[in-house]
Amino acid sequence: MRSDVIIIGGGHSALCKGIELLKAGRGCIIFSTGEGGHRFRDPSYSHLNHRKEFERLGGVYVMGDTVTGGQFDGSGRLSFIRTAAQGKTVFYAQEFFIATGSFFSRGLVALRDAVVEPIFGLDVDFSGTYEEWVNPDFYADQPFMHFGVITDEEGHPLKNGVKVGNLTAIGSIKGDGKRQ
Amino acid sequence: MERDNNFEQCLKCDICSGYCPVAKVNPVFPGPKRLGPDGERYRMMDAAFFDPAANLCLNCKRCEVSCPSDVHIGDIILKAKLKYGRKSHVLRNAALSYTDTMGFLGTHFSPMANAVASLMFKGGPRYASRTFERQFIGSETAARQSCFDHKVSFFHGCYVNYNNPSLGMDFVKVMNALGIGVQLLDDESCCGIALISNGFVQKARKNAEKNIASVRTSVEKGMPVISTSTTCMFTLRNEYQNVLGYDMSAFSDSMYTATKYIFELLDSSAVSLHFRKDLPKIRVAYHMPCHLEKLGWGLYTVALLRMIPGVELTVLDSNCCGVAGTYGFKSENKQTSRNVGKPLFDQIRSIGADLVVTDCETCRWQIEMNTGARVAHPISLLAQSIETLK
Repeated sequence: MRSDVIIIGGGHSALCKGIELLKAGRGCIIFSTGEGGHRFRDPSYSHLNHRKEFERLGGVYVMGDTVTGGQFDGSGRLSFIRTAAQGKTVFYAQEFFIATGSFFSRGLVALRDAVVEPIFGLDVDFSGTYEEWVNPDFYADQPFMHFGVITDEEGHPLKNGVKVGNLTAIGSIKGDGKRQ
Repeated sequence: MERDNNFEQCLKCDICSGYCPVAKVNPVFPGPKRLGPDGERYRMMDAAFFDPAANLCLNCKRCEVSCPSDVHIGDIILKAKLKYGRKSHVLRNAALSYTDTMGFLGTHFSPMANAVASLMFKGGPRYASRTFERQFIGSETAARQSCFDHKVSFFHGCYVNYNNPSLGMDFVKVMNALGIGVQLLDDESCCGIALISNGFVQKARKNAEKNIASVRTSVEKGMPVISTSTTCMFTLRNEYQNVLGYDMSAFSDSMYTATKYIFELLDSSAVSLHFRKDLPKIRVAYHMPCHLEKLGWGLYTVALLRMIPGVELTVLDSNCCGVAGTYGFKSENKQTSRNVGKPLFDQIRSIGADLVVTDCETCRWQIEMNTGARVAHPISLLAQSIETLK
């Protein structure tokens, strides 16, 4: 299947970007593992309204389907993505956005020795050992909260040091650049 | 621990309870989090912790769709129900669950069965006088199928066979228009979702084993298996694997809902559908069934409907209709079922579309019974919109 744009992740950043793109006349599909945009039982009204607006404008919000990976071409561009539910059907787009969030929504995953981005294996900005990621003072600024995927000025993330030109990171998956 | 029981992944965010259609309308219902991953922890310790409120679960799987941690909440609840639950209303539940036996009786005595059904439900299920299998096997249409190079197997399910054979014929018409022949499986039984949700596991397993054998034969011959019923396909693909424990991984890429198969065919090859030139403008409201949403394949139906000229499509908000197969037909659930479906019915009434389209047969009955709207299957609408093959 083809779409102008595919957004991976279905939270606040994803919906805002989706609405912006639809208003500019581009087709858009969002894949979200679960109901995005909230942390606890009740979803925020802004999320519900954004989702309604997104769907009213003709966007497709696929909930309950996780993007599992993708195919990069020789020039480092992302050509298509695979998802858990669609089987061998792949999704092509001219442009992709990744808005899978931070640790809570598993946009970033902390292993014992590294912080990784689990879908494409994008380069992540982190340093030190496991012990140094966390400040034992619970109320202090926590180093791990500043981790995120490395991007250029335009928000394109890097994979093995090479820029992925048609993928843009938005939302809290991006590092905030304030890491010590 | 049982395979795929990943309740440890639950973060306790409770988004599932916010998304559960039953928890919204029934304050007594503990919600998917407490019945599923929370309850499992206790049940592993002592079966006495099983909460009979699990019987109020619709098995719509909306909790799984909403879960950001991909916990199989609905499967955990269903498996607990099967393992620890006590059976009640056995005779009535058997009558609801043995859809093939009831269908056999219903079609043989269809005038009488329909008279009884029309007294019980306005709209809702009716029986055909001849089953799809009897109409199709040995007919001219069936003989024509061997002319096609590419063939698919059609899992018609009980609804097409006993209630709505014309949908099966519509499916054959659309596939033929795409240059694909349709065959039936060697031996098809009811998919068994009603048996599973009502606790008749032995019979469900018997049906599953028969169906899996037929699917295997078909797939080995290179023919994918396609169903017009989203719940039948969901059961074959997901419930056999996750609830009954059969390994379906070898076939899961060869099983499709009709709209997914047709869309992919149009998308990936040179074939195209020739729509009639004289199609009137029609306002269509599309309701996505919960099990199709769980499969993640609703986008294909939406894309197909948008291809039909003259169709002005409104995709209804994602809501459960409340019937959930046999659930809404039980007297004790009737009110819950109506309350669950209320937002959907209200939206359908306020839009006032000419036609409501949905892929699921029981959603169709529920919408007909509660709104009086005209409801059709997307394949039927597609069949009416294309040029007939000469």
